[in-house]
Amino acid sequence: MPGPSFSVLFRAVGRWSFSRVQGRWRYLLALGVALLGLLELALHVYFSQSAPSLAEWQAIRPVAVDLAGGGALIVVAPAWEEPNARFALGDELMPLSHVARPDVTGFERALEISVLGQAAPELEHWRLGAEQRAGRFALRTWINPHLEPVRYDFLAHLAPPAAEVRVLRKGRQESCPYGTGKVSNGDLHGHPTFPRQRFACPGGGEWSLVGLTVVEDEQYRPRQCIWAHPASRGTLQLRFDEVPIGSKIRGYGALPYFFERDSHGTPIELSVTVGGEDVGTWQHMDGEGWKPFEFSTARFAGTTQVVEFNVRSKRAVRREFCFQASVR
Amino acid sequence: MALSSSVPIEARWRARAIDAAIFVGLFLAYLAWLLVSARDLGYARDEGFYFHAAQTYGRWFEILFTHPARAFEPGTVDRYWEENHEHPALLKSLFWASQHWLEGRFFAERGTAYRFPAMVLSSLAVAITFAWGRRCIGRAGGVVAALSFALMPQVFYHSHLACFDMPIAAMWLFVAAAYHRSLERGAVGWAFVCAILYGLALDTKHNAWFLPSALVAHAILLEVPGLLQRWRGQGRARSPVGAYWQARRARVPYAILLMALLGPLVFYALWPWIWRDTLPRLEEYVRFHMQHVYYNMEFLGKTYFEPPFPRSYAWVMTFATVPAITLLMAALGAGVVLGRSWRRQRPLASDGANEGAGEVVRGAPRPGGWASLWALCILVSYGPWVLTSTPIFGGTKHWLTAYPFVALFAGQGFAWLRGLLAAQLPAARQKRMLFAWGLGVCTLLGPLVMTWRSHPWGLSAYTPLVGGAPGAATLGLNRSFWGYTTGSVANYLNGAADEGARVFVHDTAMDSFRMLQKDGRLRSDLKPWWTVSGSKFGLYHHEQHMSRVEHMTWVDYGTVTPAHVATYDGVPMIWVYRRGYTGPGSAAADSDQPPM
Repeated sequence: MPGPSFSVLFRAVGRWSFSRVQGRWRYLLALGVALLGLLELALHVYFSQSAPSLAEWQAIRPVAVDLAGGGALIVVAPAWEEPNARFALGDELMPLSHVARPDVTGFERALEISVLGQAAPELEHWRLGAEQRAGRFALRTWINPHLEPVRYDFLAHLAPPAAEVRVLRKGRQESCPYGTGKVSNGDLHGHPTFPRQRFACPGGGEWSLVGLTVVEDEQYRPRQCIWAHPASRGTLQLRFDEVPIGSKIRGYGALPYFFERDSHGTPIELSVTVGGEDVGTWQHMDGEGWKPFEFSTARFAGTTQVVEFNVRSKRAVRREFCFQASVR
Repeated sequence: MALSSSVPIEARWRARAIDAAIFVGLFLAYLAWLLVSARDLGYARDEGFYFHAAQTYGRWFEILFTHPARAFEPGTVDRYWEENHEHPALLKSLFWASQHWLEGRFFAERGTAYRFPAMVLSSLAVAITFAWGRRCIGRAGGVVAALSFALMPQVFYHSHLACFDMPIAAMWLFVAAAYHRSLERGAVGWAFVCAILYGLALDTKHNAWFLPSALVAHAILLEVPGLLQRWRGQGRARSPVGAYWQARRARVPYAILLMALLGPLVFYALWPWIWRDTLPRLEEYVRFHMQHVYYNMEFLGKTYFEPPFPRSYAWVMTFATVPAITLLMAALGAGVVLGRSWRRQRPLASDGANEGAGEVVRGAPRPGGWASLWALCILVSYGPWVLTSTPIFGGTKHWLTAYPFVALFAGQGFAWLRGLLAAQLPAARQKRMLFAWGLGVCTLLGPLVMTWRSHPWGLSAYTPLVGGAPGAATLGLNRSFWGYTTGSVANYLNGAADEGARVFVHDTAMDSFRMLQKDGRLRSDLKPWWTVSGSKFGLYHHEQHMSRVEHMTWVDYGTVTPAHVATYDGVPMIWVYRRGYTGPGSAAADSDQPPM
């Protein structure tokens, strides 16, 4: 004898359920609302304890030392946890050059410290080496499959005798002596920190200097770079001697985004010469943020050359240009 | 508070006594909570400016009391009232009066004395929310409404401050409530009260400019059914001329007429700055707010600093910061009111749900009047953020004026649910009470815990809808602003800083920092410092666009490692750099790390 069809069963169950609920819908509605109230409370408690405490961050330091020893880049996900990581791990594991990196292409290895199930977008195409859990942390070591080793970091050589700076103006060369100056910075609306060690250029006041600082990019992330405010009616020239040349010179340039986001300023031009020969010119317009450049130096590869960076702008007023460059 | 005439006098008086006790209890309890918790809360940036302005205005009051004639000389008035004239004077004058007369008598801390008037107004707003809710939706609904309002974390935060945001929310509520009372037959006195209150609201903050549009729209809305009825009933009125004459017969509430007359007078009388050159100064005042500079505000990972601003900002931020159960109850309440209006059933005031709750509720003189008024107050409060040119830099404080009405709808939602339970259990009074209490606890426990735990990080408190504070940080919602979190690192600075150390204050106003020192919360020998350079300790209050200040500190101090971090639910809120400290094992100050 065939059993009742599915539709008949379905309707019967529906009728039965409705009859059960019909007289109690008021209860159920009130109960549902009450449960939602309690659910929100439970979720609040859950989320409030979801992120690790500072003590937990401090506790993973030994593990991080083991995994990131030898100069691996430490990346934190989500990014807002990074201050906690810096507090717990210190400059030794997270130096300024790593925290304010231009990008990740020059790093061979990275340690990702992840919480809340987050992953660092920067490491998306890297190869996973190992993963381990420590409390609420996932620690993953990553290998860079597209490593472009840095053969020469211009930021690391921004001092005599490797570097010299001058202003080319009306056919004359005005030298920018290297020495120490008064460290200064503004507030939110002020200029980035002008470092103690600097090349001080003539004219243009306090801003006419060349030195290492950090500016914010279009995501307000830190970028360590060479402050190179263009000279008024002239060209600011940074010269590096005895640079081992590879296949290319690559880098980035920007103004502090807090200023360039208004998109009011005159474009800035950066041209690069190797051994006196132009290898490329690049332009930065306000609003473009941390913008990359790359010039081929293949024809000089394997030699040691003088590299010059020439920075200019038609109207060099508040052109707080800062760039980073390396030989790859 | 009148009850139905069928209720015995004794019961009526008992009900009144209970209501009065609840009113006073809510007021005192919230005020006490604010006062007790104020010490943990650092001073916001704007508070510093208002402290200073209040002191300056106070000097004028002292002249007024000693040499009245001199006080009214134009030069004297301008000299003392020019400061901070982008905002009217009422609250700042009250801040001064409170500090002048209450510091040392009732308050040991000067900052708390300054904050007291705003705390009183905020607490009164909680109590008035109950009173109005009591009249319209019953006692239980009123209590839930008042507590739903009090237990919004951001309301609790702003209620502490010597600022104008909660005071204007309170004033807006007071004016709307008085207007509503004035609509009752023979309540002309309330029309005068409404007008005076509106003048005070104008003297509190410029949000008051928008309030009349809600009240006028409400008055029109109340007239529409009658006009339509008359228009339909009289053929001669179908012509445009006839319709005009019908419209002329519509009543304009006295409250609105008196608001237009008395409001500006009160406003003028209480703001000495506009006693002279009135029109140009008013024009300047209006222009300042209509062309307000755009500050930065992070929303979903992007910092907005110029139009167009996202239209979704106000609503998303409301969902992200107001407990979901409160919003759900408010939606239920609004839905119930809408449903009843749609069905055109019995007058709202005698609705079964409220009767079923076992109370006798006297409703508004015109059925549905209160609900449409609440809805209009919400819409008008949020209205400016429909425009993409309206600044968003103040976060939720911009539309705090809407929250008492959201809470009132939540009270209505609760009253309706309670009525449903009562209808289900007509005979089982104890069981009914138990269920109602259970429902009330479930409605309010979450908001209470969230609000309690949000202190002293009120601006960083986010609801579970966005994953709490950690979820909001991941989504890129503003962490905090105004630099008030310096209060949360005071103990660290007191313990770690050398004698006379300079502290870079970052976003904290100098007067706010100094108030922490005057109150004894920060050591008085510490020197607040404007720039990172030259400082020994550097504060950093995180906002996305302010990261550059942290970067300045890194280069200047030669380290990226904070010596101290203060977190809320694991999310870093404010951190402190110390010159020479480079991390664990650093020679510079491992010893003064506070225990975790």
